[in-house]
Amino acid sequence: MRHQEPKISDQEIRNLVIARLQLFSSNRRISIGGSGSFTKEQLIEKIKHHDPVGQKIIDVQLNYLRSFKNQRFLG
Amino acid sequence: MIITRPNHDFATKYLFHWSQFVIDAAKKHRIPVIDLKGKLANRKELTKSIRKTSPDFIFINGHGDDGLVAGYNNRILVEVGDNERIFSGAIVFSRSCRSAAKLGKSCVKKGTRAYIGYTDDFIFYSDEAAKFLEPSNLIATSLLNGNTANQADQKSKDAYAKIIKKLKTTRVPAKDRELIPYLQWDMEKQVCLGNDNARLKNRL
Repeated sequence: MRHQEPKISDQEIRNLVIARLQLFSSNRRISIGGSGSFTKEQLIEKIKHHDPVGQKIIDVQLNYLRSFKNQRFLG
Repeated sequence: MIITRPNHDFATKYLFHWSQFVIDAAKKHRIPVIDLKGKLANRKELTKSIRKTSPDFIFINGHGDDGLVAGYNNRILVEVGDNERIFSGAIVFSRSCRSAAKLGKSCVKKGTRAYIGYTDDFIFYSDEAAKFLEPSNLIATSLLNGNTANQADQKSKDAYAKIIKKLKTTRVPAKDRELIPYLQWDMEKQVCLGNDNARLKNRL
């Protein structure tokens, strides 16, 4: 039998990234290209509202988490 | 060397400040610098300066998109299918979002010797700007030191990797470890297009 990867929904990914961001410190600003600079709280709101900036943060966090699986960066 | 460094918003003010280190390095090497800062970072001044001096190295700072780089107030400096030939013959480092995705490729097809840039958004923490902007400055300073485009790109990536490795140690506070995904992102989205072996002519 072929092993099937468990599927994870878009909402579960969103929740995972929000949970990660909640561990981060407040009162810091992240500059995201021409979109502006944002606090952790603003980014969480943008993820909840399916905003492109929120999607970018999801992309960054997933890229990092996937790098463990792919052993792309072992540091 | 020609440098554009607008300073009209939060992100560009940081790029403006950190670019000064590159200008200082160029001056140390007695490399003439045309500094298109603030409002001077516009298409007319850039075009005029390139025509007048045929620079070996052009360092763009500012916002960008897949097909363009911008200057003061996000006015377009160079765009795909329009004026990318102005970079012909030069090595370009574009510290702007996403421009390596399309503009960089088109520039290389139309005569840019090497184009170093980012295929996606360049992201940084403002209170830890050095960890993001020092490795990217290293692209420009390595070129000024006589390294090839590929070596400059690699030295910059090595600097990111070194910072990431340091931040991964357990003694580092969580507030510092949260930078890692963003540093890794900038490192991985950085590309060197064109001739890997291109180097500044007066540094041969």
